[in-house]
Amino acid sequence: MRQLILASLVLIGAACLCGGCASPQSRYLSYEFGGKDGPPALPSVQLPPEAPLLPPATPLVAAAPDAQDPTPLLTVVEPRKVVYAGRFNVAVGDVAVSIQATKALADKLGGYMLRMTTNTIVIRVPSDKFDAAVEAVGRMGMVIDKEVTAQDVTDQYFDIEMRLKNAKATQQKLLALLEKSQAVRDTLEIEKELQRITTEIERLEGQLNKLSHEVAYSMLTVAFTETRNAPAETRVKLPFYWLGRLGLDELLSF
Amino acid sequence: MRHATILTVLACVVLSCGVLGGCSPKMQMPSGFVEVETYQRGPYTQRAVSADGVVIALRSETNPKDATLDFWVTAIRDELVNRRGYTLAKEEPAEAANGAKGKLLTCTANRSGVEFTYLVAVYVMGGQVLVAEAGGKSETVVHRLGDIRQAMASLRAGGI
Repeated sequence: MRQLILASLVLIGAACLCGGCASPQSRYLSYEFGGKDGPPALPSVQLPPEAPLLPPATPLVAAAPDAQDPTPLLTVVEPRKVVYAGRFNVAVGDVAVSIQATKALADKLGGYMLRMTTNTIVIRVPSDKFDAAVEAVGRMGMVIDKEVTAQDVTDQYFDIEMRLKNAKATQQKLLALLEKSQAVRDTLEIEKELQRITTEIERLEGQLNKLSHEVAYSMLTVAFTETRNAPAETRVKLPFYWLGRLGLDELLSF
Repeated sequence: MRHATILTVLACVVLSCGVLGGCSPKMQMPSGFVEVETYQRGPYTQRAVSADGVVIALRSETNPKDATLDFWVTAIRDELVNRRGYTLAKEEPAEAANGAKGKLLTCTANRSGVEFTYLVAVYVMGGQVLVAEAGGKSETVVHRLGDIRQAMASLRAGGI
């Protein structure tokens, strides 16, 4: 009996090792990210103002098992897991007011404020509202510079998911062994392994939750600058004096 | 002879005032608004205020050759949003009483923790740029938006 349990433990350990070391391709068949050379690199990029902020999502397609066969037997379409983030530097008339307006914007869009200083605020908004948030922030003042990044974490996500699945399967096998175990020494061995695998499951679940949240909620960092401190070249004044007299100050003064 | 000269001069002055006054651009101010004096060197040709502090005003400026409505809308938007820190809430087409097409920009601004609303409609009519403005605390303006829009739509250009 004891030999049987030990042999099982060795087999489970070997299975875990295989699960942990296998390449993503072998675990996910061969995913294609719109091309044959793996996922496109999506580094931090400076976008021109006219460029679309979010690229259209490309579905993941699992190719046919036989690469020679042009007609796939099974096609699985999975959404890409992309973490979007934006960083803005905006010149405004009143920094404190703009900070509050950004916080209110996050609430309105179903997001929340992450952290805030006297002139910077970091918010998270649902990813499908990211464009709306970016547009609203851009309207708050004069955008001095902006940066939008898109990080494809699909590989990472499914890797963790697969590790988690394997770990849970191992946990079930260990529990089954524990029920059959009669010798105290065996029981202790199995319990030790169970504790290790449970900790691993918790760690992987934490990673998966964090990643899922980062995909679901995009982060927007906005640094505000007082308009009078904005770079001089951005403050070209038109030669029509009355433009400078528009606004509430003049209108409401008697 | 002396009386005749004085009378002639007076008649000319009265006539000129009548003609010039009659030809100035004008808005029909809504009920509940009281027109206040506009100073000779002040920016407004017409200004009215409600008892709860909402102000509607009109200014008329010379339009340089080739300056289109789009030119002024861009210039005004840039001035308000990028220089003053106003938040542009809405931008929509507007139409004056004579059918002239314009643009209405609605902005908000925060003053000491209180939100204010500022509306500015711009029209290009011949050699003039007509700018109708309205503003006040947002909580007050919201109840008078209909009146403000009506006043802005009643705008008639002058003939000068």
